[in-house]
This record gives sequence, structure tokens and C-alpha cells, in this order.
Amino acid sequence: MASSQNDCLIKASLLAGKIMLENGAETSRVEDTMERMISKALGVERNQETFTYITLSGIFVKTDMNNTNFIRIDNRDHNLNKITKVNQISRLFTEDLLTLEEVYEKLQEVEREKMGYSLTMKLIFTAILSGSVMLIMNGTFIDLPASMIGGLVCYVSYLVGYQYLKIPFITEYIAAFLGGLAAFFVNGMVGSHLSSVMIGTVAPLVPGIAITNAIRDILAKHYISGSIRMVEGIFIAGSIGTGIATVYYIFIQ
Amino acid sequence: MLNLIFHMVFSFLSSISFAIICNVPKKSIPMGGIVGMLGWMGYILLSTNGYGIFQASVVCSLLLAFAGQIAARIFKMPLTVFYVPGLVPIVPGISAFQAFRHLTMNDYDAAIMGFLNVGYCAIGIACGIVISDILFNTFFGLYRFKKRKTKV
Repeated sequence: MASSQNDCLIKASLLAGKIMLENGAETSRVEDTMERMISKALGVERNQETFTYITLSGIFVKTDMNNTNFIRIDNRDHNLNKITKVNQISRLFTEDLLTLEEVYEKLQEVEREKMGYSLTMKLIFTAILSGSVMLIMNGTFIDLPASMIGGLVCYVSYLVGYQYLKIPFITEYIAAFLGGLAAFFVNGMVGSHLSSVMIGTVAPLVPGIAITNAIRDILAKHYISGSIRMVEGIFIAGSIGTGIATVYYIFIQ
Repeated sequence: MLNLIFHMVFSFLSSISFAIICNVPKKSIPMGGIVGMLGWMGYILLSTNGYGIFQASVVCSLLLAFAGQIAARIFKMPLTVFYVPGLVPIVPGISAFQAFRHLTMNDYDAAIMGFLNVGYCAIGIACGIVISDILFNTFFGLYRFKKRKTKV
């Protein structure tokens, strides 16, 4: 394989892995996608040699004896749309419908693009999420305003805190505290089931993707990534719980 | 009966709204809602009929993973897109948060119960994923060798 094409292969596979890992894909899926791309380009069977090594903070790629490269992963977010896009691109590549250069260009497009729903839509659906989780967790319709306002305050303060504070667990703590505070006061005016309201309030922050990915990573023998994600999920749940408990401490005891 | 319809509607709503918060592709939103509804129906039917949290979360995770796998094959998207939104009501996050709340309020009995429930729930979810993965890989593994066509 020509060296320019080899460089392009390394760049494209690293970029694919970076996009997927930054947006919340499980490690085994990232490895699978990258190895499929590399083995397709090199024409070797998959699993004959291992070409990639992936942890949550960095990806290593090796295509032959002389070509190795590495990329660092810094911030992680949740955007399942980008994962789907990268998946489709790599699928098209393995079916010979795209060349390597086109794959690299498309991946750069995906990385630049700001995909996702608008903020107003997200806020509307945050309110709906809080309300409906509260309702299926033994709440009643009279609790709707409390949990919706609590969920909105929680999510908005999480977004603001995430932008300005950049400290991982304190942000969740403050968001849960403020949301719990708002929910508590509205619940004092109209509402009955405080514990259901609190569950609905923190529903937008619950670490669902982290815990699911942790379990799937451990099952796929990626123990390092899996245990890191598990610790992250437990800490997030703990800081949310302490945030709500602070509200209980101040007002109920 | 009315209660079941109530749960169906609101689990559907919670799944689609969590899907939108996680930025899933537009095409997969309704299917993700249906998958999440199936999972929650399994969970609520078992847990209201006297089964423990472990059985309920195994069944929920199995239903979610199975429906999600089928949807992932049909829509040619990753499984996570369908699986994660449905998991939000039963994910150990909520029970972990409750357990932490009890712990910080010096209610140790409830806290221990809560942490055990978190563990059972997590193990149950893992068991569901494993079972559905194994079944799919044994019975539908042959499907992988066929040439798949994807639309641009």
C-alpha cells in the first residue's frame, strides 16, 4: 500500500474513533468499527492481528511495522446522532461505495457539524421527561408543575454550569440542588408526592449512557474503560443524590 | 387496564424525550419510544405482581435489548440508539440516587437496601444484555456473512 494512502487510512480511522468515543459510544463498538475499516483497506482478515488499542483517554493505531499513530480524547459528550453517522460511513466504506479520501472528508464534516436538536426543543422535552418519569414512578397529575419546573431548572443549571465551571461532579451537585430547591418550593404550593417529584426532577441528569456503556464494555472484556465508566456513573449518581439530600436536610429536618 | 394504558403512554413519552436529550437521529425516535415502552411494560408488570427487582430488571433489559437488536438490524443503526432511551426509568442511576439520599440522611437500613437494589438492578441489566447478545449471535450470526446493502 502506498504511503500516502496509508497515512490517510491512519488519519481516517483515528478520526472515526475519536468522534465515536467523544460522543458516547462503547469502546468495543469503536474498536470494531476501526478494525473493520483497517482490515478492509489493507485486505487482511479481521482479528488476524490486532491493529488498535483503545482506552477512554487515547486511541492507538498500527497499520504495519512502521506506521503507528496516537490521538488523545479530551472531552466527552452524548450525541448518538454522530455515532450513527460514523457507523454509516464506515459501513459504506466496507461495501466499496466510498474511497478512503471521501471517508476522511465526510468524517471531518461530521466532526465540524453541530448536529443535534435546538435548545428550545431540548428544554420542552426535558420538561416532558421529568413529568412522565414522575408519573410512572407513582406520581399523580397534581405533581406535574413541580417536577416539570424542577427538571427544567436542573437541566438549565447543568448546561450553564457545564459551560462555565468545567468541574465534573460539582456541576451535577449544584444542578441537582437547584432543581431540588425549585421542585420543593413549587411542591409546597401545589403537589403531594415529594419523593416522586424529586425522581422526576433529576431524570435528565441520570447517568444512563455511562452505566449502560460500562456494563457493555466489561462484558466485551474492555475492563479498564468499563471500570472507569462505572466509577464515573456511580460518582455522578452520588453527587445527584447528595444534591437532593441537601434540600431535604435544609428544609425537612 | 386504564393503569396499563397510562404507563404505556408515559413510558413512551419519557423514552422519546430522553432520546431527544441524547441527540439520537430523527428517524429512530418513534421506534426508540416503542422499544422503551416494551421494556417498561415488562418491568412494571413484573414488579407490581410481586416479583423482585432483579427479575424485573432482567426481563426489562431482555425485552429492551431484543427489541433494540431487531430495530438496529432493520434501521441499520447502532443498538445504543434504541437501547439507552428506554433504559432511563430503570437505570440504576435513579435508585443509586435514592440510596445516596438515604445514606446522607442517616437512614442506614434504607441505604443498604437501596445499594443492594442498585447492585441487583445493574446485574440484572447486564444479564439481559448478555442473554440477548448470545441468542442473537448464535441464531443470527449467519446473517453477518451475507452482503448487506446500505442506502446512501
